[in-house]
Amino acid sequence: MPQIVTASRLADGVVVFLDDGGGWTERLDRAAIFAGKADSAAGLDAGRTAEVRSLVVDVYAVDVALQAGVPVPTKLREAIRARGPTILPEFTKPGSTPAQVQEDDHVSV
Amino acid sequence: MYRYDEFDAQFVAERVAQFRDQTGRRLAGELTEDQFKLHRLMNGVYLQLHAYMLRVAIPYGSLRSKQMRMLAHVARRYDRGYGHFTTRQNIQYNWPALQDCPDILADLATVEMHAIQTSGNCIRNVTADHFAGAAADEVADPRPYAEILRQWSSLHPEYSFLPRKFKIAVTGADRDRAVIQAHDIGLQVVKDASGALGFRVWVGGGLGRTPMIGHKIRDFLPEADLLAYVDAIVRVYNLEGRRDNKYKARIKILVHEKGVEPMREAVEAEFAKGPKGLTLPADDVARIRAYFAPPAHAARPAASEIVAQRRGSDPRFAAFVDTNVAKHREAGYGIVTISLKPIGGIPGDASADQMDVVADLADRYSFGEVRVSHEQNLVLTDVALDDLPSLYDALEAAKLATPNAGLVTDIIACPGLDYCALATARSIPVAQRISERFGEGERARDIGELKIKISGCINACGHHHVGHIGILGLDRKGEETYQITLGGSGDETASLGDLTGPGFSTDDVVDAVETVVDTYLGLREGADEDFLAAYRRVGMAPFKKALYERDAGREI
Ligand code: HEM
Ligand code: SF4
Repeated sequence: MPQIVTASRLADGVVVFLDDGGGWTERLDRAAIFAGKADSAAGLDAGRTAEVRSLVVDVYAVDVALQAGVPVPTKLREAIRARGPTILPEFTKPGSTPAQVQEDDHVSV
Repeated sequence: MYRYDEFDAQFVAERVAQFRDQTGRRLAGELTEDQFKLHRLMNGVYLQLHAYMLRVAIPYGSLRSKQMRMLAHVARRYDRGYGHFTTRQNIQYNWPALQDCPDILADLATVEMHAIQTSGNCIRNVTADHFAGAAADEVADPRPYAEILRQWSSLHPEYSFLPRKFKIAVTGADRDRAVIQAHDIGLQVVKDASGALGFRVWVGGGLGRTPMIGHKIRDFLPEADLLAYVDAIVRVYNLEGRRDNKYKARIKILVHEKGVEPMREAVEAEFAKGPKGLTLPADDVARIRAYFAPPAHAARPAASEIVAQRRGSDPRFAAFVDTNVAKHREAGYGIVTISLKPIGGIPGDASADQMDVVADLADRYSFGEVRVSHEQNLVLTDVALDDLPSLYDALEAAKLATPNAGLVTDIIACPGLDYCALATARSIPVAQRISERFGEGERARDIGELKIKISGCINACGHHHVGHIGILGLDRKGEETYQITLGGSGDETASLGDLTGPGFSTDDVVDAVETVVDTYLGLREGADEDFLAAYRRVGMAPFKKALYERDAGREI
């Protein structure tokens, strides 16, 4: 199963994902996608380095399924963590749902 | 209300400075997370699902209007414009940045507030009856004792690293509105035959994964011995409580494993060693009590003409008076519950604007004081009955006048999987759907008093074990599943709910609750027999039958 690597940003606690450039993004749709457990090990290593540098805390890998190019976590807990509280749609995080990504793309065209 | 003296103020200021330094060093990378976490938690800052969470202590749930305005300011300036009032009479902010927390704590310190001992294995915020000082059925105001316990337990060197967290609740009335029997120590203020004040003492209550009702170990403890006796209990616990397994570390497990009698004997033996300077001087009790002196009530007629008139023309106002206004000890006054449970809303949440409104209304109508109840509502304790119509209108304008205190829609719900890192299922959406199902009309009023309490995992922050209907959200193979318990109670007749049977899916749980309620309506002996009384009379069988011998109750 594909995986992404996630953490919480130290300074403000915001949920972040490792991106393709080795940096951290708040947008789920920009998370680096690893083919499986064996591949995400490198991402976890990068995460640990960021932890040591006090950029992020609590680094771990999350199973995802690709939906319209967005890596949506398969477990409910991780899906809610990536998307925002289900009870407050206004706090849905940008880039966290396939529908939203399409909307954003539309706007940017 | 209690005011800080110079020592309190200096102590809190020093703590803020220390935490600012610790946070700065953490952000600069000089402290590792492992080194910092303990300091962070000791100042009420948790890391949750989406962000940090800051828990601010509201000692025994009492606030001055100025403090309420500061809570609004913190919500607006540092958070997303709202806060969550909890079953422990605290407030939690869901989105603060770590780098802002020292500033938040500094702002709070300007109004004598802090987040000390809102986390960790210490004596936590002491809770009390939210009607304290005003209730008609009260022997004495429990808050002076809660304040004495707070002062004694703050940064207590011997009790800063107990085997586990430790929670004390105090009430001053026979009617227990503070769930004292579900606390590590529960205290009820009573008078003996000579009229002297003292306490009934329970020990070993608690919810969480192993729920237990506390055991009464003293029928009368003289007032002066309060600290010496509580100290004896905590000392026995500190010495004998288990540190090998955090799930068996609460005092309830010690009492359970040791036995109630041996526990009582151990406490009495420790107590008999002498008060160690902890006997309360009567002068000091009087000095603390003076802070909680009742406000200057005016002489008023017992009944209000204005209220009677408005009742006749406005059924919703009448419903509000019937459900949300409780009897005050002074004639012509009432205790008003401000429901934070709008139909379909998020239990316990209040916006910054609503907090400001409540602060203003407290100034105008209730001597500038607000209470937070463990049922996640706010309370104005001293409202003249003649002011009820204008207070109601002002609350209504701020969407704070839902007439549902104590009814089926006055639901307690913990943050659950929408916010909480430990959750196994969501709680808030279940509460919202139940609330929408029953609404605020005639039907909800006909159902009468019914306490639904929902937790998103076995830690039981939503008190589900003591809900008349308790709901526990679990994760069954990746699906949210809800177990239902019936017949729990957090009052003076405290009991733990009984499990109905297999759990219900997200889709089915609201129907299941409705089935339980309909079953009750069908078998009650009259409108006077509330849900709990009916359950205690008939037991589980009819409910089980209704729930599981039908197609809708999909078994899992
Ligand atoms: C969101 C962060 C929270 C975390 C991480 C958390 C954690 C916990 C844990 C681990 C327990 C079990 C303790 C034990 O059994 O030893 C517990 C119990 C409890 N918590 Fe929370 N909680 C949180 C929020 C809340 C909220 C929002 C409330 C109030 C609505 C609350 C009130 C309580 C109560 C009343 C209990 C059970 C009483 C007892 O200690 O026996 N907590 N909590
Ligand atoms: S009961 Fe569980 S889900 Fe709810 S707040 Fe407590 S720890 Fe979180």
